[in-house]
Amino acid sequence: MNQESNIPTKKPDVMDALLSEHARLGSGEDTALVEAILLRTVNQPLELPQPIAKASFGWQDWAKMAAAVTLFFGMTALVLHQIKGGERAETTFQLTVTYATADNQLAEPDTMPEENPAPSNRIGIVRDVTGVVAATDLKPIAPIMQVAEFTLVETTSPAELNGTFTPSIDVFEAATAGRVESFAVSANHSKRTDSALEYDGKVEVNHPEFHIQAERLVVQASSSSTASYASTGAFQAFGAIIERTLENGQVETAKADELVYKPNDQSLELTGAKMELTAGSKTLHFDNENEKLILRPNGFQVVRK
Amino acid sequence: MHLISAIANDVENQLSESQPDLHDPAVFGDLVRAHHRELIVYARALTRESNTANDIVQEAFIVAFDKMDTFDVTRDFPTWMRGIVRNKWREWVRKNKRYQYSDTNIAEMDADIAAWQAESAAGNRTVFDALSSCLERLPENLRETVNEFYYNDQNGEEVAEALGVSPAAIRKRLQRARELLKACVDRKISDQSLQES
Repeated sequence: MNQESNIPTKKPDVMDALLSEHARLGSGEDTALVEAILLRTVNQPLELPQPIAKASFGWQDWAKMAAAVTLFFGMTALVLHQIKGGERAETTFQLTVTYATADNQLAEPDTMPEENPAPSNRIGIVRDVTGVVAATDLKPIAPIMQVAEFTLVETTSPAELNGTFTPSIDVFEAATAGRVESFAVSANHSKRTDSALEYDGKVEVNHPEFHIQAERLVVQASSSSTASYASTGAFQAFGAIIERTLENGQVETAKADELVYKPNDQSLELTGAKMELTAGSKTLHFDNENEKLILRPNGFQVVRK
Repeated sequence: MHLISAIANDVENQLSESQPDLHDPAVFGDLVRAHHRELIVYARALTRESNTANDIVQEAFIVAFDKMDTFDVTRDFPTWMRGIVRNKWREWVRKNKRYQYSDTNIAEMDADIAAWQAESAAGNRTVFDALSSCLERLPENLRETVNEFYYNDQNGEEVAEALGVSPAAIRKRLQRARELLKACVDRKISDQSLQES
């Protein structure tokens, strides 16, 4: 027996562990764990050769040292000055909040009805032409397009979007079972076609869970193309950089040639010849075009196409 | 003499063909992919903590990689890995002073995981696939309890409230569900083994 004298003995429940693990990841592999293991074993990065130490300490080095010492004493004096005065340096930011109403007119907060506060999961973020950040609780204007997995509502007035114009800010609401989420798309140029809304030129997507910058973005917004709609997701972004904050507070960025967002499982599917995923000081590179990088709220997966 | 030497070489070649070459990065990567999920279940059953289980499995593979030269080729890789996981868990128990399991209990669990790993390594469906299939066969009241508790991540009291029954009833349902699922998974795994043989 291996029991330590003062440690209680229990009975392990392998089915409890199996069910918990199945609930966590289903039948697939734990890509993050596999990557972590391989990075610490067979894929360990090669150590770069150390630069050769400089033989002499030149005048440039003395100048740098003097600048550093001056900066150090300057900062110390500043901090001591503030502590002495009993004050703490504070920077105040003001967030201007406006509401967009059903007819897409921006209104001041005090004009909104107070008896019907917006549920938190229906709050989206839009960036208007002057850069004002607005919290909105837009009501659907365009008809809801029913698809197999989720519905997408364009809450901007369709009349405004005919033809090409600059700039553009459009708000969409994606609805899945029990959850509605809003996201806003802004771009220098946008164009409505029969089957989609296309954006290019400094395209930005603001979603409560992530922010995307892209060269081009397509939102499938036609009720006649529902067949491709479920597979293409809410939108496709090309030349995309995504930034999001994970549940543990860590900021993660990823780059890909193409990105698809699927609200039904809150996944971002990245594909392309060169993909990168950076968290903290570590960057993972994915060069296999047959693989798809999937970002989920609690981590990422790499799957074969 | 030449004959004996030739036979010895032949045996050695056969042995090396049947055993994975852990020095090959591709082979090691495949072994990690093939066995990590069952090892997580093993470590999770031992530690009762998801994050600790992942850490232990990760550390165990790193130890295996570092010590691959000491790997006894007459043993199989999954058995070796379970041994490393157990050692890592014992280290963790010593540091954390939580609880211990009897050797009998560990041996029983070890046999379960070994059977699951063998099926997975043989290219058959994994224990996770078997579990998916077994879950569909659970009686409705047990299935919804399992769904709420494990898959919707609710605690016993929340499940009890959602389903309108007492927390004690939920505990019994979960216990019953785990017993049925265990029997079903074992049956599916052994059926696969029989079909192979």
